[in-house]
This record gives sequence, C-alpha cells and structure tokens, in this order.
Amino acid sequence: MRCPDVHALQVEAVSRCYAAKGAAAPLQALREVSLTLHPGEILAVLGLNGAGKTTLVKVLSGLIRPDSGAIRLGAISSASTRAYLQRIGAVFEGNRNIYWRLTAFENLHYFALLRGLGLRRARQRALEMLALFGLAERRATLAAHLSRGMQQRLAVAIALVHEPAVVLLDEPTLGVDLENVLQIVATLKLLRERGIAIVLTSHQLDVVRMLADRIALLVGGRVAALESLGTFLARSASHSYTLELAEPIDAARQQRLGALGVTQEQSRLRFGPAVLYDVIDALRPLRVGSLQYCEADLASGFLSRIRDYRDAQPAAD
Amino acid sequence: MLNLLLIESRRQWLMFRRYPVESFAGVVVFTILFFGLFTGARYLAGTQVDFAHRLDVVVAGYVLWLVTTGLFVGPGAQITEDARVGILEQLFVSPHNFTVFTVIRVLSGLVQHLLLILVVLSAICLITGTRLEYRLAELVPFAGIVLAATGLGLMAASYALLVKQVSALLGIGQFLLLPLVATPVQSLPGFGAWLAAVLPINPSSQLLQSELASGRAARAGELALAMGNGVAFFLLGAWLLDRASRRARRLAIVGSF
Repeated sequence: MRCPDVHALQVEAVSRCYAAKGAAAPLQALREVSLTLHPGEILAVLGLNGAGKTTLVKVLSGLIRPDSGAIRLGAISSASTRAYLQRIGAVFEGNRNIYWRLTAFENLHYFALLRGLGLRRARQRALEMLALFGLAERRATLAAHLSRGMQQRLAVAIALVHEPAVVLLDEPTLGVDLENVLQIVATLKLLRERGIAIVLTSHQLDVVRMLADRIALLVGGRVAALESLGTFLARSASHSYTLELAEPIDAARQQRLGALGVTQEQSRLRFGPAVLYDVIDALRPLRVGSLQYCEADLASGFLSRIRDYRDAQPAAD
Repeated sequence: MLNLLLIESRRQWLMFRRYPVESFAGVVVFTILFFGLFTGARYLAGTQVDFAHRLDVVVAGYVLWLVTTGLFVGPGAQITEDARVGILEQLFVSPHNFTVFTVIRVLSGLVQHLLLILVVLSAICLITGTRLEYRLAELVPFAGIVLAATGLGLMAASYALLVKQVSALLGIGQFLLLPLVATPVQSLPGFGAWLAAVLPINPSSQLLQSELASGRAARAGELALAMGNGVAFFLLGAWLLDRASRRARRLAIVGSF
C-alpha cells in the first residue's frame, strides 16, 4: 500500500456549544480545545460520557462546524473544504458506515469511488482493504450477514479506503469480541507504521493502552491533559508504592504522612513515587514489613486525573 | 458530476438486482397496471373513438402520476433510511455537496424508473400490437413536471433531514399531488390563471394533457411558463435542502433528531 501524503492536524482553540431545550444555558461541549496530531501517531481522546469526545471527532471530520477556533490539516485551513474532507476518514460511534444490502467488496468499492478514486484504483484499494482487515474470504458476503466484529472491521476499512492522511475512530471496538478487537488493534498499528495519523476515542482502556502514543484527556469539554501515554501513566496517582508497616504508627507521624498525601488503611500505606523518600524519612526508625511498587493502572489513573482536574478547576464543568 | 451519477446508478442497480424476486414483483405490478390501462382504455374507447390516441393520454397520465409520486417521496424516504442505518453522516463527510448528491440520486432513480416503465410499455405494445405516439415537443412540459416534482421532493427531504420522521407527511403529500397533476386550475374563474402559474407541477401537467388530448402544438409562452414553474420549484427545493443541511450541521443533528 502506498503511504499517503500525511499532514499533521492542528486544532486551535476550538469551541462548540449546543442549544439545549429546557436548559437555562447552552451546553458547552468543547471549550477552547487545542491539540496537534503528528503523522504516524495515534492520539487517544479519553473522557467520561459527555466530556466532548464525540463532538471533537465530529468537528474534526467536518460534520459539525465549530463555533470558534481553527482546524488545519497541513496547508488546508478549513475543515469544511473538499480538500480537507478528501484527506479525512471517519467512523462514528454507533453508526457503521455500511450499506447493509451491498457486499463487503461493493461497499468498499462504492465508497472508494465516492471519495474520488478512479475505477481501477478503487477496485485495487477495495481488495487491499479486504486483505488488510482479514475480510478477503468474505468479500462477496452481504454486510448485513457479517458478524458484528467483521462489520466493525469493514466500517474501519471503509474509512481508510480513499487513503486519508488522518483517520478518526469513535469507539471502533465497541461491542466487538476480543479476537476482532485484537485484529483491529493489529491493523491500526500497521497503519501507524505506514504514516497514517489516527484519532481514537474509546472507553476500553486496554485498547487505548495497546495503541495510544499520546493521550488527550477531556473533562467538561476542556483538554485537561495532553501528553504521551508514558507521561500520563507516570503522573497518574495510581503509579504508586504500597508499604506494609511491621509496628504501629504514632499520631505525629500519621499527621506528617497525611500532609504528604499518603493514604493509610490499618498498617498499609499507599503513596506516589514523588514522596517515596519523604515517607521513608517520616517513618524512620519504624520497621517496615514490605514495600511494593504498583505499576500504573490506566483506569484508576484516568479517574484520578479527572478528579484532580476538577478539584483544581471547580468552575470547569 | 457525471461520475457521481454513474457511481450512484451502479449502487442502485446493485440494490435492484440483489433481490430478484422483489424486483421481478415490481416489474409484474407495473405490467399488470399498464395492461389494465390498455385493456380498460380499449373498452372505454369502444369502436367509435381512435383507441390508440386515447391510450396515449391515459398512459401518459399514469406515467406522470408514477413519476411525480416517486420524485416526491424518494429523497425524503432515502434520507430517513440513511439516517436510520448510519450512512447519512458518511455522506455528509464525503467531499460532495449534499444537495448536489441528493439531486444526483434523484436523477439516477428517475432514469432507472423510466427505463423500467419503458421496458414494460414496450413489451405490452408488442404483445397487444398497440403503438403509442408522442412528440418530441411534449418532452418540455414533461421536463417541467419532473423539475417541479423534484423540487417538492427536495422540500420534503429538507424537512426529513431536520426531523428524520416524515412518513406521514410523505403519505399525505402523495394525495395532495393528485389535484396538482389533474386539476385544470387555470380554467377556474377569477384568479385561476394566476393560481395555476404559481402552483407546482400544474402548468406543465395541464399543458402536457392539453397537447396530448388535442394534438395542438404548445405556444412559446405556455412552454416558458411550464419550464419556468418547474425550474423555480426545483431551485426552491434545492435552496431549502441546502439551508436544511447547513442547519443540520449547525445544530449537530445530521445523524439524529
């Protein structure tokens, strides 16, 4: 497959609100969201329900116009232009971009032609996509007769058939079994190697952990964090130590540990790596039963980052 | 644009042949209806009246009815269906203007519909030994009808795009089309002529029926009115659909209500 002419996506201070019937004020879905996407990078957009993930994907796809802000794809400065749309592929949550009464091949061929590929090239790309997504043997099967996992793979394949520079995937593994999830993950990794930039939203954090290069955490429509997966994990509160004390702890030490942000459950203390030596100093010369390092857990880290952000900016939501 | 027409025609053809029994049943229904028209017209005409001439009018009237209802219902029904299965959002993020795309779809469906009618009619003419005769000039009011009906269809599609639930409206609309196609509004006393000019389809439909019934050639003014009416309603429908698609984007309701 030819590597597409990739351009980095730049999103600058994009805001979007919805008029909500019966509500006193409009619902602010995105608030001055800024981020960049580099060629061959997978950016996972995380957030709770209603955080603005789907709105962001729809704004980036050109489906929804932002109220303010700018989106640039290389030299293309507007998300509503034909040139922009030609370089973007998208799968929206719950909406599989498929004609149920067409076969897998016919679907790919139709959308390739619709996106401007010539007849021969469209056919070639459709066959490539079928092979890439493990659907070659089901090319003549009606989309309606494919399994849910295969339909999802076909939906992603359709988003890629016209060789876009950037692919937007909103919950691409929703309701899909593990085997199909792993196949989609493997294919997306391959596409990343070929230089395609991918924006991914998912509530399946194990999928995010397998794929993401960077994380954009949305809280109440704002970007609360935009950093590499490693940094995100390292900064999360769940990246921690658990220390088991061999003898009781006095009130003065408890107070000092409390000031360091240490949580205590009976004889067990839990704290982040940043305060390891402070905790040891505070406990000295008490006997320590065990000290265990707990590797970062994306799920609890994700939740704690959201809590931290909300605590720091109570007016954000 | 021609490319888009070919792509969409190919898709519609694939859909048509995917379910041969259903498609064949459609052809059979057409055949029965037209055969009924032929035999009915022959019976009504008796031996005193030129049967073939009478049949031209009857067949043309029925084809008009089929075409106008198809054009009116088609775009709105298609949008509702696309929204239901999730395709609509994909069409909006394709590089094509949605209004242009919808018009191309209508055109593609119309061509398919007319071809089917043509095949069935030819077969019946062959079987019954009947000959239908139409003049090239009659294509002008026919085009006016097609344009105006498409305009009405695009108006219904605009509403469908915003609310995604228009089956009742389309059902009622089909019945409202009947007086537009059949009533000689211009012969009404008073403002009849003015009213006929501003009602969709009516000037073209009346002109075509008058041409077929009397065999007279239409005057330039009548042709201009028929085409002008068709073009005006077509442009109005296209403008409304364009406005509706912008509004749907603005309200973020392309794929939902």
